[in-house]
Amino acid sequence: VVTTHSWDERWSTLKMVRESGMEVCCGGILGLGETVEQRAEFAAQLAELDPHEVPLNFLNPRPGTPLGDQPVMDPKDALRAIAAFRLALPRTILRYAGGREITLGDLGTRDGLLGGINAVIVGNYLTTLGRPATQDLQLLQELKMPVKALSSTL
Amino acid sequence: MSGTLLHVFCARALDLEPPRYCITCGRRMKVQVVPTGWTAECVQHGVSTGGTASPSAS
Repeated sequence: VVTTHSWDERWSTLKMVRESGMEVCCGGILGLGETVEQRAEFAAQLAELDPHEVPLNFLNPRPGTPLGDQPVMDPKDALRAIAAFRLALPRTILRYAGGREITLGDLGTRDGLLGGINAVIVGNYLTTLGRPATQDLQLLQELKMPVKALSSTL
Repeated sequence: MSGTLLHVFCARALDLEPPRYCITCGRRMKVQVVPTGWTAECVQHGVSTGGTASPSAS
C-alpha cells in the first residue's frame, strides 16, 4: 500500500539502522486485506530482521481513504495474529499500537496481553482517541504485568 | 447484520473520534490530538477541548 519506497529500500534502511548501532523498531498494520499466509510471511520476515520492538497495528478503516471500506479485523483473527507473532518473535518487545480499541475492545485487549503482547501505547494516537491511560495501567496491574517505563509526557 | 447492530459499531467508533465539525455552525474545525487530550477550534465559535475516549466498563 506504500508508494513512497519499496520493500527492499525499507529492508536496507533497517539494516543500516542496526549497523549504525540504533535499536530497530519495525512493525506493521494488520487487516489491510492480506491473507493469513501473507501475515505469516510478514512475521517470518520480521523474525529474520529480529527487531528490538515490533509495534502491531490493526487497521482503523478511515472513511474517504482507499481502504475506507475494509472491514474491521475479526478480533479472533487479531488474537491469533498476536499469538503467532509472539511465537515467530519470542524475544522481541511486541507492542500494541493503533487500532486495538476498535478491533479488540476491552476484553480482547486483555486477552492479547495474556497472549503475547508485552508493551502498550497508551492514551490518544496521532489523529484519533484511545482509551484513558489509567484504564490500561489498571489492567496491567490486574494482570500483574509490571510497568517498566512510562513516557514522561504523561 | 441488522442496521441497529451496525450502529452499535458506529457508536463505538465515534467514541474514538475527536469532533471534526463545529456543533454550532457545522464548519470544519482545526483539530489537534495529543496523547492526553484534544483541542478543536472553530474559526467562528472558538476552542473546545477534551481528553481521551470515555472510559468503558471492563
